[in-house]
Amino acid sequence: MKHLFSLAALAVFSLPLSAQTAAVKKPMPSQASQADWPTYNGDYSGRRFSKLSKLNTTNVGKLQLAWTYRITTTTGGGQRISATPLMVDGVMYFTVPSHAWAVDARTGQKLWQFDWASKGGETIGNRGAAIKGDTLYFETEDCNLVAIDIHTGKEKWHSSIGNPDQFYFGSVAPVIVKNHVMVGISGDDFDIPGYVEAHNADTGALEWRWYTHPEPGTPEAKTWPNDEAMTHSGGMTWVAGTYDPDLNLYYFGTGNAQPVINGAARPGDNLFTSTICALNPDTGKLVWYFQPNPHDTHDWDAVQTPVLIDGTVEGKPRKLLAQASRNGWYFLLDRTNGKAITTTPFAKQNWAKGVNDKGQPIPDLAVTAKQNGTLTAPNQAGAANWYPPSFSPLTGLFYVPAYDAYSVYYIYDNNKKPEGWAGNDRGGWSSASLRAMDYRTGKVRWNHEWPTSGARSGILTTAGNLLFTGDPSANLIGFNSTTGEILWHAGLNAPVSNGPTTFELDGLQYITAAAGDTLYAWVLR
Amino acid sequence: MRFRLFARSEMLFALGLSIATPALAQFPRSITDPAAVERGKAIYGQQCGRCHGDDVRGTQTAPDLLRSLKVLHDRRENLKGKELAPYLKDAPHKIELDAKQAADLSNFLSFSINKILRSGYDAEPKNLLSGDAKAGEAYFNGAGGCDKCHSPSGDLAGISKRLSVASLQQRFLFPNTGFGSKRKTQVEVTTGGKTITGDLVHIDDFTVSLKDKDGRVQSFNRTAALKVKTTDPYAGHVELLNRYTDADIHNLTAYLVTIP
Repeated sequence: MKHLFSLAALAVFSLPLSAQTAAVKKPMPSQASQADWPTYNGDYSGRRFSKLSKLNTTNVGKLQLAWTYRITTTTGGGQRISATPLMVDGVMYFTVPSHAWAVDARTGQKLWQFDWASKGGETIGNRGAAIKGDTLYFETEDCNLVAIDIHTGKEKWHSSIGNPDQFYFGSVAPVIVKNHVMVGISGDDFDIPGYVEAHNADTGALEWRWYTHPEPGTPEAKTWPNDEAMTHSGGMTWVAGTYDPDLNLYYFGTGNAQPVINGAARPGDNLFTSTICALNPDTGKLVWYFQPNPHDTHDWDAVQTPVLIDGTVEGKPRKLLAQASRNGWYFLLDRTNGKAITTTPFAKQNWAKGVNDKGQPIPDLAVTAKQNGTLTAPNQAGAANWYPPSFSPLTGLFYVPAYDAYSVYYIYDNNKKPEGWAGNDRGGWSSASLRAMDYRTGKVRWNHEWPTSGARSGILTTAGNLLFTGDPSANLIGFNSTTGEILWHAGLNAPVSNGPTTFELDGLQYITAAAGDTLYAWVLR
Repeated sequence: MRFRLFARSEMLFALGLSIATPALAQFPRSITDPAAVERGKAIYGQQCGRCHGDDVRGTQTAPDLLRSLKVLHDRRENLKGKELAPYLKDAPHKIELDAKQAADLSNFLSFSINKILRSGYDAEPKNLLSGDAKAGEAYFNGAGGCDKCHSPSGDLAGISKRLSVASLQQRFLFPNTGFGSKRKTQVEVTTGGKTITGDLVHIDDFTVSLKDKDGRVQSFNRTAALKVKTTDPYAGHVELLNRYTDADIHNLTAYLVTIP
């Protein structure tokens, strides 16, 4: 690979995982070896890169199935595991809406199952849990943060994180920062504002809430026509954020503006919707923001994982943040201040007519929904989506499940005051790829176009120079992450529905992936 | 992101459907009784509409009831007005409703929430005939190249009677999505000097399956010795997606609905 990561950057790379380890109390001895997978993204950086290298390009062909675990209980939304399982001290923890499991990571045997008696909510999916000490935290579909004893599976406490009457619901994997449980929120049908909350990890008490709209009277508030539109603005926080312990900044993306699709009654950029935000996790104060998707009228958001990269730009070490956004554009920012370094499309797009001096795409107002339809690329599912991307410091490549797609956007609610889902896209064509980009330039270094379009899945890279992801059919595939060569695959019962993970137990390296109702584990013996 | 950021396509995949059918995405709704909705609509018109607006979206003098926490709670808990009735009785409303009237008003308000906030799940777009039929005909026979494969008196005869305008527009834009029969992708597999052709059943990076002319399904491992060639019957439609202007699409729609 031509663009190798610098040695300096490799040295810095170990910091976030170490910090995460320190944040988790004993007893968890194996975390000291960094062999566990203790957070949604494996560490704070969002890279989904594991330093484990026992499994590598020379022996991945010997990877064999260790066990499977099939769930039979859900509260709705189908029996599909979209959570990234955590693995701490030989136990795996995963979730579906309002249910959580602990299974033995060596055998796949169930240790306990926690069932929340839901009072109703959206069951789109649940992305997973967080662990601190001997407590597991996850969000329920009816907007509760639940703390569970990891040894017994019994509830310790629960705390409300939203009002289900307004159609808020919980699906986000929490993130532990110090003694804060960082909580995102979901729901965008009812013109409600999004927010991020911090709860005390010991008591569940709300510490602060930061809404994803500006304070009335501030300069950013002028990106909305009036306070009523601004406070019914959307901007859900659907995906777990990332964290830089050195800068003490928590990074996350926000969802689309509301009303959805028809933006006629909310002219302006509509901050802080479809925006990458950096918050002080102790105070909930906004430190900087960058909006990849001004005046979102396509339900594209900017919630895709902000991946933290310690790299070099023009020969100088930089603290960077990269996002392959749902709108088809790749952004590389300075994560100390949010200034854009690189802005470039990574997939087919026809909605932006250029880039402004802040590095933001400039929306072409002609490519917005109309009553008689507007042909738009990408489609609403986006060039990327919530499925986790990955960055390998070994290759210097940013990997994303990329879709080139068209659909037609229509307005249905043409009232002077449109509300909720005021339109939608309909029909479509798409082509699916696994795309590897130079993190500095966004230039595609290799591209594997799948033979069909269809399902998506997340990505894992490892120090064994391997990349694991699911294809649009029902295979988990291992690639050489430098060249894109396929080295191994396993046929499953359904498409991979989460992001693969890896961990080490007893000197053996495991790979996991969920497909539909089943969690799979493979091992190199 | 409703996801739906992620949500809609996920749900549809879970249902085994294409992302081309958003109208089938279902989200929690409050069940309403059509007769009660009608009775509630009358009560609303008499008691509420003057201040809160005929469409329930509020006015300068009274708030939007679609965003009212009391109404939303009533809807979600299926209270059918049990808490709304006592509230309305107090200032500033001073409206007295009996249990049945409160239930009727509750039904109407829940119906309004379902209808307005979820109008984006409407299955059929309207107002699609803004284009110029003559320009559409010229595109059909000219720049679009549609006449190379299709004929108004042949395969397209009667198309305006068979399909709604919305379906017709979708069909020429994205013929491989949505409901209805589809032409199969053709596949040609060559191995050991022998070539087998048929309708594509499955393909990934490791296997390919086809149904041959005798209806027999054959599958192959995609080894280095195996050559596979697929032909998308809708490749011409896909290529057009990179060339269409919205005007082309609207003109073509206007023309196609004139084909008897």
